Amino acid sequence: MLTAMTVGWHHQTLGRRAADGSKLGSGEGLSAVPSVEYRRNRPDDTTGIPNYHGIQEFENLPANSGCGLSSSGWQTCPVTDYYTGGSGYLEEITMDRYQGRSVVTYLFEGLGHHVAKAGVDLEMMRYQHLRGYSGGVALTESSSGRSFVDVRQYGYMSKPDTPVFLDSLDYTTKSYTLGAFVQDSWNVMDKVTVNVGIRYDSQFLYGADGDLSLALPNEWSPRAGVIYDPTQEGRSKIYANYARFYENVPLDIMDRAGSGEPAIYGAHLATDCNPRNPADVAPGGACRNPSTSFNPYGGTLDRGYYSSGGTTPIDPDLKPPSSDEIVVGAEYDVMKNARVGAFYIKRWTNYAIEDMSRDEAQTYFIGNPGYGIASDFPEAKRNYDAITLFFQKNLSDTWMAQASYTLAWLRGNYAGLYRPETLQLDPNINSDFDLKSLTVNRDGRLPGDRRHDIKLFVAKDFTLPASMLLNTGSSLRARSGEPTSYLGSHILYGGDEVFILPRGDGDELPWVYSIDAHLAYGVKFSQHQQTFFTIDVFNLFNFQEVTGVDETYTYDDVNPIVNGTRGQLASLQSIEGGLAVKNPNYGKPTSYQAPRQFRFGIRTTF
Amino acid sequence: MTESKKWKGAALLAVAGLGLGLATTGCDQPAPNCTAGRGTWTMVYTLVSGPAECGDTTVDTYGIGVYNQANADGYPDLKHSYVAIQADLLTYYADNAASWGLEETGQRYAFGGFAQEEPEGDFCTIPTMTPAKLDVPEVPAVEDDPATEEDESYPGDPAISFEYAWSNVSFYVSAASAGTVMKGDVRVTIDSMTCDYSAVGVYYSVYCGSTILEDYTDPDSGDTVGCGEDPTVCDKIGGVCGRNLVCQVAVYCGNEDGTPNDAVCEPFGAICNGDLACEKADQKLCDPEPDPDNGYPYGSGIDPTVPMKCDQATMMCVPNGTPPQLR
Repeated sequence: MLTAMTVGWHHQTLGRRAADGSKLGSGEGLSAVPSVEYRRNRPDDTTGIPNYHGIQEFENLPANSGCGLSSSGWQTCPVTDYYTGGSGYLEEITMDRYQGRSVVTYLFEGLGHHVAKAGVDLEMMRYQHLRGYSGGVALTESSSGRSFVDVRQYGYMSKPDTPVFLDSLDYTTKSYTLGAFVQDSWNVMDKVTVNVGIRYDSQFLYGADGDLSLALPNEWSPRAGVIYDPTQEGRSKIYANYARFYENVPLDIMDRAGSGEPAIYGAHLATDCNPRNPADVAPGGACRNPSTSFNPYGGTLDRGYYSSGGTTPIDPDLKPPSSDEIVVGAEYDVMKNARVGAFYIKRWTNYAIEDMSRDEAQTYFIGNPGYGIASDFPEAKRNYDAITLFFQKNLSDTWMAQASYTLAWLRGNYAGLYRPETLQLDPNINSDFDLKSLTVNRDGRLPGDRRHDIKLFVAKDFTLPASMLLNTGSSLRARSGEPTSYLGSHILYGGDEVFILPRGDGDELPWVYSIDAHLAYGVKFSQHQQTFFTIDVFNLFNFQEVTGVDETYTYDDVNPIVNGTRGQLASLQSIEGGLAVKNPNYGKPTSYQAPRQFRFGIRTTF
Repeated sequence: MTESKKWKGAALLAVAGLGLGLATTGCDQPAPNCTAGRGTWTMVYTLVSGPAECGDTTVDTYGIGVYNQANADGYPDLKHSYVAIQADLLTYYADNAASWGLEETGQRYAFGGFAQEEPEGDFCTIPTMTPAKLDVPEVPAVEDDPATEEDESYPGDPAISFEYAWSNVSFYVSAASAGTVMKGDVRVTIDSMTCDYSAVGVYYSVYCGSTILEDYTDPDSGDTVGCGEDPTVCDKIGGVCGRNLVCQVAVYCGNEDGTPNDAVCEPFGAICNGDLACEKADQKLCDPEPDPDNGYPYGSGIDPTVPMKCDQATMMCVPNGTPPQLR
């Protein structure tokens, strides 16, 4: 019997600071200055001309720039969106993860050889998150230009029209996970190996008030596998495995939904408030004055401010988020130290945890889409299927090689813990299922769905005279492109939240090729001491293929065309009326593959 | 015992202790905090006692807000919430007086705290509320200034006093319906008339009157006006850009003397409203499910567990029977 115990601690700090490096709460530099967004665009009541700002209002331009108001009243250099002041959202994060693991291994005989293991895992996560807005508030101009709204500001109301402002939120949330497992690898008469096991985990997450806010018990994860060698000579194997995996829920959900984000919104007339005047945006200034603030949402009870931000209720029948995986494969040795094989992977989501609203963003809850109190929402689907063919020559006789081809599909309506379309990183509370109207057309090719993936890798070592060594290697990777979509603005949720056509129905991005090279020159000083000078070149031929395009088809609020086709885009209507205006940059590149890079190194072994 | 064994023993003890702690942690999800929907509510009164002028049933809109006091750390104590209830009728009179520079005296809203941190039997109760009690001063009549083109005349309003005394207030709070349905008793006193009602409220308030539109025809050319490329062309004629991409305007239903003519609206199943436009009760506006194909890009925003209907008399979405939460 063997026992092993490991303990670990991971500590990490990171932050988002103002452009001048000043920290949130320091009261210094740009961290103490509110950000202001200028974005007025509404037609003038009498002339009908959009009332954009001109760039000359913000930038020092030469006298002959030509920017200004034309004789007919149009801005010749209009600005649709311009930011001044501080840096907006700022944060300081400290994360700690403590882990302990104890495993006992027991070898015994019983109708064959057994390697049995049992163990326990414990994990504690701590997430301290200080967040706020530079200067305590972020102001946004209304589309009419008549007012500025405190669009981002922490605070709450103690009674009607009695605001309490908070400079920042400093929450510490925690998670405790207890796991245990038992497994046995049973070699039956040296012919078949059977692997069976089961894990139990439970995770408990605590909000900033220290109370339990989310319980995820009873995470039973069965594991089963069988391996058979038809040749009975150790030259082949046929195998099949099944496993269930549970998500270790990150603490972001506790930091936000589990602790509440008290927010307060007021508005100030542009005739009173000039955000470019530092005195006006300072605390107590004309843009921060509660006595002149009005409720931007027009409430009758709270005339000065609107507030939001309690904790989000949890479905009492919530299931922990899990996915299942099946792997079936076969391998055969075709020559010494070399084998060919194929395997198939199928992975699917059982339950996801997300926040949802059944009353169009009036109230939210956390549940499993498609189950429990969210049974009227579509189930979260994320299905991965892949077939891989490979050849592998292990390192022997001074050379090795690997080649593989994967044909894969990734489909569903759930992008996962990260939403690439809007860059939203809010695990388990992103916008995928927030409203039913957001779920239309979301079923399709998911980001990351690359149909073909080819990898080649070869390496060769050379022994030179005078105890010198030369290692060479090269790899090629060719991948077909990811899908793209036609995105529009949602009337309640804003930009890129509407899939106008079914997800992934845009043009597929082009194939991306990359060839990397490795060269190492070494000197052997003794049997156990050698030094290598290495150079790695990534993207040797500096391919510059497009890896991302602008998928915003329109900035207008539009409805999805249910199961629509590209031919219907020409008649797409804005919800406000008229044809939707196509984004002139739709489909144009937004990112390219990384350029050629070199990495030099020295490696000594002794 | 060697040092190594001591460490192992301590580690095993720590693991066992933490494991025991977690094992005894409850497996149930925490109950939601007592809360209420923030914003406008539709309230249906049923008369309990009072003169006939009170009306057997009445529909009114209210503003309801949720408030918190500070914890020791300065953040809001979300476990102990307070609720304010304010009738829009009172708000209307008070705001009107304020627009003339006149100040009301008293408090516009009823105010009280939940008795519980979390619901008991899915209900959170407010044992006592200070009443909304307001005196609105007289708004004097104003005569027109003949020197200007505008008509500045105003008939004036008499002074009026309100009192809304709430009792037995409770909100239904569950994970699925977080404070979206309430009930209570309210004694409404307006000047000298007192009415006792039993009230049922639903979050949130939706106006379900839908104006009947027709394609606008240019009086000179007799043609419709297209708006596909520029929807603002409809603004100039007081219309909207319709789904058929031509400007549409409300069906006018006024007689020559400016009185409403319901006969014009009858073919549409509508009535002639105060703006002399045909308007009908649109049940779809009370539907929580969006129907983008038919011009309803989002749902009503009302808790879908409460069956609703559009009340023809008030053009407000009201519960179709007693909400299931209150049965």
